[in-house]
Amino acid sequence: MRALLVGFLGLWLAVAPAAAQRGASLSVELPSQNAHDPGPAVWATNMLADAHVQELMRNGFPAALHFRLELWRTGGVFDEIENTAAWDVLVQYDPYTQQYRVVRRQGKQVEDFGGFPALSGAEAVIERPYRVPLVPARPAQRYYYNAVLDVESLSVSDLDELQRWLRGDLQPAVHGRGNPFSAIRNGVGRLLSRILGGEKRHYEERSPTFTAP
Amino acid sequence: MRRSTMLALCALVPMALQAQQPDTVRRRSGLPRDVMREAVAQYNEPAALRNEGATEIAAGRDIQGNVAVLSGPLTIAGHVTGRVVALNSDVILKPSAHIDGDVLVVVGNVEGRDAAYIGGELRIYRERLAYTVQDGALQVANAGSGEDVPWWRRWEGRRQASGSKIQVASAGAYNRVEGLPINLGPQMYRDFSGGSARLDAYAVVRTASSFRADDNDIGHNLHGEARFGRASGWLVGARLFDIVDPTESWQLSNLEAGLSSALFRRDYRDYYERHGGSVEAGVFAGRNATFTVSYGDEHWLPRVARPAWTLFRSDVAWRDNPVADAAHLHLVQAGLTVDTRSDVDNPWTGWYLRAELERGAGHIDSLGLLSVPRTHAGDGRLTYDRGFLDVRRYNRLSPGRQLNLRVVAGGWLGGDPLPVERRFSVDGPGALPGFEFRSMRAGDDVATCTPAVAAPGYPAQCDRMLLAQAEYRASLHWGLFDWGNDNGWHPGHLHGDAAWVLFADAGRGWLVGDETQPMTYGRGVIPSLSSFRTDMGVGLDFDEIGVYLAKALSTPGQPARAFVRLRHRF
Repeated sequence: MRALLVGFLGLWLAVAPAAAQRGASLSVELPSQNAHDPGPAVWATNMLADAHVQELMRNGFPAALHFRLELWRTGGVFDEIENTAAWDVLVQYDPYTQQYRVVRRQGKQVEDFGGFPALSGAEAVIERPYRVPLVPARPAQRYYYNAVLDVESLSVSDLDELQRWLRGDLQPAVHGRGNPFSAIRNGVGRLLSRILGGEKRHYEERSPTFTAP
Repeated sequence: MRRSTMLALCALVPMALQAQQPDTVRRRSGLPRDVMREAVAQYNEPAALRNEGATEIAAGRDIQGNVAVLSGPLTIAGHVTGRVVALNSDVILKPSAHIDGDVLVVVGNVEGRDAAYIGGELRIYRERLAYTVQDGALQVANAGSGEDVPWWRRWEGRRQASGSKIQVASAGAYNRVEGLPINLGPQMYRDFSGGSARLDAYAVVRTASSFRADDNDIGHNLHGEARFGRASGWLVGARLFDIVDPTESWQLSNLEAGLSSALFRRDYRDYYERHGGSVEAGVFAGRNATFTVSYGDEHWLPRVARPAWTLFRSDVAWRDNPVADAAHLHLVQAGLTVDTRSDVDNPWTGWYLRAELERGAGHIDSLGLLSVPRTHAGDGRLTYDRGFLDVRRYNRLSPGRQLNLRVVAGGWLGGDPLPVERRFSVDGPGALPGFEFRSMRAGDDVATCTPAVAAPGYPAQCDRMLLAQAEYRASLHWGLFDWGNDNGWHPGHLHGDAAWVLFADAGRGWLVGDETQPMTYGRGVIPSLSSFRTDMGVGLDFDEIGVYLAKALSTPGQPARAFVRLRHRF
């Protein structure tokens, strides 16, 4: 039995890198020395490639991508977060027009990319590097960026939460303690649902450490 | 099967939509109609500057009013006091550009938006505006082809207006006293220009007792709150309640306590009934800081454990719910919360602070059961002061390593001895996981302040407690689960979420008073560190769930204990 477990763990570890290469990814690229690039670029690939997500979208449930970029300064003992930026991308399939609609919101800026007849069009918007004006404040200090992406396929019960999500408000607008069924789901149930094809994915990616000019 | 069922249900939505549509699919594309109307109206309105073709507002130039440009590009380096509308036009904003109002761009790129100042909202639409010009004014061509309003605006507007619904929500963790408490009733939320207001009016239904013919046990919980201000401001609220509350809730989350009870018949909390009302006022600063002061008039009553259902170990008896004091108290409470964590669920840096002060005054009708019998002088009048502090600091050592620290302290500050409902323990998987929860041991139990003989239910009896926790986390750069692609689930690669954890805990509780009594110290004394319980352990934390192994250090004879936590330990 123990040998079986060890074997399973070994197989798991062996398969993991290959599996990871086939999946979605989040990327963050340091700003170049070009003055026209005021900050790092962030993009995500294959975020909508999952068959389960596509099925949900084709049935009218939007996919929500919440990006957060953090600028960290390395310290003597502790690293410190110097600044953050957050933005959201929402993708919805409109069965009436048979188009995928994409909108990006960052603070008071809204960019409606319109409709795309194929999912690849919407995916291309997400895969396009998005430059974030997040630059170090202290010259000659060591920094790195940490990009975080949460992807959610919204279910019917989540639609109410969508509006405040669009407002950038991630805290519950109404401080109820949650549906009793979702209380279960949010624990072990949520874990199991993620194993079975999940409803939320979390990605983190760090840039190399660099010295601020 | 599960996925198939869900997809079948999902499929009903478009099927219902399609049933209302003609046989041929109508192509609806282009700008939403309200955006078309808004863009054309803004362009046709009197403007300080209206132009067709390339337009430039040079640095130092001041436009007193709106700017409207058709088929630009529009270059702005100066100051515009009104709004800017650019139709079928790129917009180039120089760093010196200063626009007081909104910017609306239909089909065009906006360059330099991060360096320039825009006082209002920036909206960019990629779909082309079809227009005609009649009598010098712009007219929308084929206005019937688009949506009425942008699809995301519809959702946004609906939320901002107000909301109300009949809520069916858990009122707390599943427990051995109530089963699952459920809030049932209306919930209203209103967003207004200067803040927000909400009202919840619930009946509290308890699965263990509300449906019994001989004991129709239904509580209530009415709460109203108004917040004035957005980023910061003040709040007022009032509450009427008849609920069951835990005596200590700081050790485990509601979800952990509820699941442990419902699945394994292990309830790590004790409960009592609260019946009364309160009013509160406070100030808040964003999501980071809140300070409130409240006044309440409450009756407290003991509750007994009921034969609540559990999935496993149903043949094992529940631990007794300790007999709490029955009391009528007036409570003045002050609470401060400061939360600067980078992420509530998965913090890398920041502080979390929760501080509470409480003064209770009233009388005790009947005393609960503790190991050492208590007496109350005179008519049972009671006045006490109590404090509680939970401070956490999250530190990132490097991109993949973390050192997190937590100190929890609480206790009697003055007046009469604390009622049973306000006493402390440092026990169980949320505090000192290397030691078995509420188990009889030889000698004094400094985790619950229980001497040789425990009272029914093994209650928390300490007047004061102190707990310190530390953990070192290092990313493993792989994880337990991955969505993978069309081929389904793959093991590994949770995007850096998994971490190995090394942790250590030290804590104890004590009584305040006659120092000749066991576990009792003077009011200004903290027990020596050598008397603290200590443990340490290791674990694997997969973000959603963590598996740990803890070993007691201060009592080496204790076996190592394995435990599971949902989310992080703290």
